[in-house]
Amino acid sequence: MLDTFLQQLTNGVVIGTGYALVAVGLTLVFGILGILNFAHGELYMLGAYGILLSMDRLGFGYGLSIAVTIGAVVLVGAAMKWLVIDPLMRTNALNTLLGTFALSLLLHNGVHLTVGPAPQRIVTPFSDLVELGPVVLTEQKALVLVAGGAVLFLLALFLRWTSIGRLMRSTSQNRHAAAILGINVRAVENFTFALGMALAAIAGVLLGPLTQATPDMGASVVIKAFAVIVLGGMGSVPGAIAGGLLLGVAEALAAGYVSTAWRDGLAFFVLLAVLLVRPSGIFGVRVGR
Amino acid sequence: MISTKRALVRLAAAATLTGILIPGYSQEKSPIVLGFVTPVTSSWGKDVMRGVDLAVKQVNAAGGINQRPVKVITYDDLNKPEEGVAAVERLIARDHAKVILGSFSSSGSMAQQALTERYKKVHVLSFPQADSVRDASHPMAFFMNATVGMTMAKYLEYAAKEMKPRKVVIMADTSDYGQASADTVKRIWSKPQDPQVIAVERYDQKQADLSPQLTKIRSLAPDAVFIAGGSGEAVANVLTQMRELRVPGARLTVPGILSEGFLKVAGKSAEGLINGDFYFYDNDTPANKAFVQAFQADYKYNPSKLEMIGFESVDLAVQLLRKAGPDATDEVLARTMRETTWTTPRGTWKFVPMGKAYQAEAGFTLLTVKDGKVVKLRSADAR
Repeated sequence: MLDTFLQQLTNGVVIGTGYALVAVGLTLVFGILGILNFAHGELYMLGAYGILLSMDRLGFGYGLSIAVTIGAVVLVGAAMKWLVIDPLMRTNALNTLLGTFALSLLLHNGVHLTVGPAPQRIVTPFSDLVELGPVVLTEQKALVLVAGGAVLFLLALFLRWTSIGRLMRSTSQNRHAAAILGINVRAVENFTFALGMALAAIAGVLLGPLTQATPDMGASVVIKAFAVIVLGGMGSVPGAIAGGLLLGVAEALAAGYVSTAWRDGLAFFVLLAVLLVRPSGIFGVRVGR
Repeated sequence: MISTKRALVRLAAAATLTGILIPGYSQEKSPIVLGFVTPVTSSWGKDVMRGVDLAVKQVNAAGGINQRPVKVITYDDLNKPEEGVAAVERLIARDHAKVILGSFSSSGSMAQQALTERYKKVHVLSFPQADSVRDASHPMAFFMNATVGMTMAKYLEYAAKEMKPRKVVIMADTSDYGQASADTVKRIWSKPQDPQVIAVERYDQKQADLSPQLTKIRSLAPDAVFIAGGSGEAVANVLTQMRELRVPGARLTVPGILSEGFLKVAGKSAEGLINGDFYFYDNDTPANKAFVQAFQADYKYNPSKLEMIGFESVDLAVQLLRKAGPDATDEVLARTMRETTWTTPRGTWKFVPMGKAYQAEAGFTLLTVKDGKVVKLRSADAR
C-alpha cells in the first residue's frame, strides 16, 4: 500500500517537473512581454525532434545533441519573434495572440509534413532502471528529476540574485517605469524570449525520450502548462514550479486511487478549488478592481 | 517561322482528324475511377497506400479494365468522420467513382456507410473491425478486415489454454475500438473457469505518461495484462512503460497490431509478444506469393496486413468490374460481389452475411516477435 503510494507520488513529481519546465518558459514570456505564446508547445516539440535528429541522423552524443537542439530552438524562436511577434506587438494584444496561434499551427504542420506523423522513439544512454527502495523509475526519469529540478532551481536563483534577473523582475512589475529608469526594456524582452525558448527546448530534450516524439506532443502539453501558470499565478516563476508539481501529483493520485477516467477531471477540480480560494493563483499578486 | 506555323497547322489538323475518324479511341481511354478514403498522412495510411499503388500499377500494366486505365482517387479523411463523409460525397457526386473503398476507423465507417446506403453504391470497407459497424450497415457494404470478435475468440482461446492466466487486467484506450475490444474480452472470458478480469484501466492514445495507471496495475499483481488499443504506436508506448515500471504478467494485445511501424516504436518491448492475425505474408497461395514478390521488389520489405488489404481492396474492385462489366449498374455489381468466389492474396474465399452487410472470410494465424521480426508461432500452436 505504502509502496504503491510512494511510486504514485514519484510518478506525480516526475510529471509535475515536466509541467513546470514547460510552464516556466511560458510564464516568463507572459510576465515580461505580456503575451500568451501559443507556439510554446511546438517549440517544446521541436526540442524533442531536435534531440532525435541530432542523435539519430547526425550521430551526436546526448550531451552535444542537447546543446545543439537548444541553440537551434532559440534561433527558431528568435526568427519567430523578429518576423511575426514584434510587428504584431506593435498593433494589439489580440493580434499577437492570434499570431502565436498561427505560428503553432505552422510549426505543427511543418513537422507533420516533413518528418511525418508517426511517433518516433528517442533512445538515450539513460535507459536502465533505478530502484529507490520500492520505487522504480528509468534513468531518464531520474534525469528529469535531477536535471529538471536543477534547471528550475538555478532559474529561481538567476532571477533573484543576478543583475539581469533584477532587470527582468523590474520590467515585469512595470515596464514603463523600468524604461524611465533607463532599463533597455527591448533588450530585456529579447533576452527573456530567448530564455523562454531555451526552457521549452530543455523540456523537450528531457521529456521527449520518456515517451515518443510526435507532431501533436506540444499541443497537449501546452494546455496543461496554461493551467499550471493560472494555478501558480500568471507571470510567477515560483508559482509555475509549485503549480506544475501540484497538478502532476494531483493527476497521478487521481488516476491511481480514484479512476483513470477522472485523472484530468480531478486535477482540474484542484485548479478550480485553488482559483476559487485564491483567484490570482498560488503565488499571484492580488489586484483590486 | 513560316515552316513552324505550317507544322503547327498540320499537327492541329491531324489531331482533329484523329478525333473525328476514331471518336471511340479517346472515350475508351477515359479512366475507370475507384474512390479510396483513408488517413493518407498517418503512418498506417502510408502503409495502406503502398498496397493501393502497387495494385493500380499492376492492373494498368495488364491493360486496365477492357483497355481502359484504372484511376484511384484518394482522399485523406484525417481519421475524422466528418472528413470521411465529405470525401465519399465528393467521390460519388463529382468523381463518379464506380466503387467506394477504404475507410479506417469504425466511427468513420459508420458515417460513410450511411452515405453509400443512401446513394446505393457498392462500398468496400477495408479496415473497420468493430462488429457493431456490420450490424448498422447495408447489403451493398462489403467488409474486408476480420472483426474484433472473429480474431479475438481464437486469440483468447489460445491465451487461456496455453498461458493459463487467472487474474487479468485490461488496459483499454478511450476509443470506440478500445471499448469494443475490452467488452469482447469480458464477454468471452465470462465463465467461472475462464481467466478473471479483475480491473479495467483506461488511457488516452495521446497520453504520454502512463505511469499512474501502470503503477495501479502493478499493485494488482496480474497474471496477464490485455492491452486493448487501436493505435499500434500507443500500444507500443504502453508496452515500453510496462517494461520500465516492471509490471508483472504476460502481455496480451488486440490481434492485428503487429506492423513495421509498431516494431520500430516498440523496440525490445515487443520481443516475445504473442499476437495473431488473419493474414501473414508467407501465406502459401499463388496470389499471395505473386503479391509479396512484387511488393518486396518495389518496397524492399515484407507487407503486413495493412499493405495487403490496401492492395486487395483495389484488386477486388478491379476483378468485380472485369467480371460484371465496367458499365454494370450498382445493383448488378453488388450481386456479383455477393455471389462470386474471389481469389486474392488471402486465398480463395466468398463474402458471407454478417449483420446487415457482408464479410470476407478470414482464417487466423498466431504470430510472435523474435529478434525484432514478426514470425509465425511454432506451427504446433498455430490454429
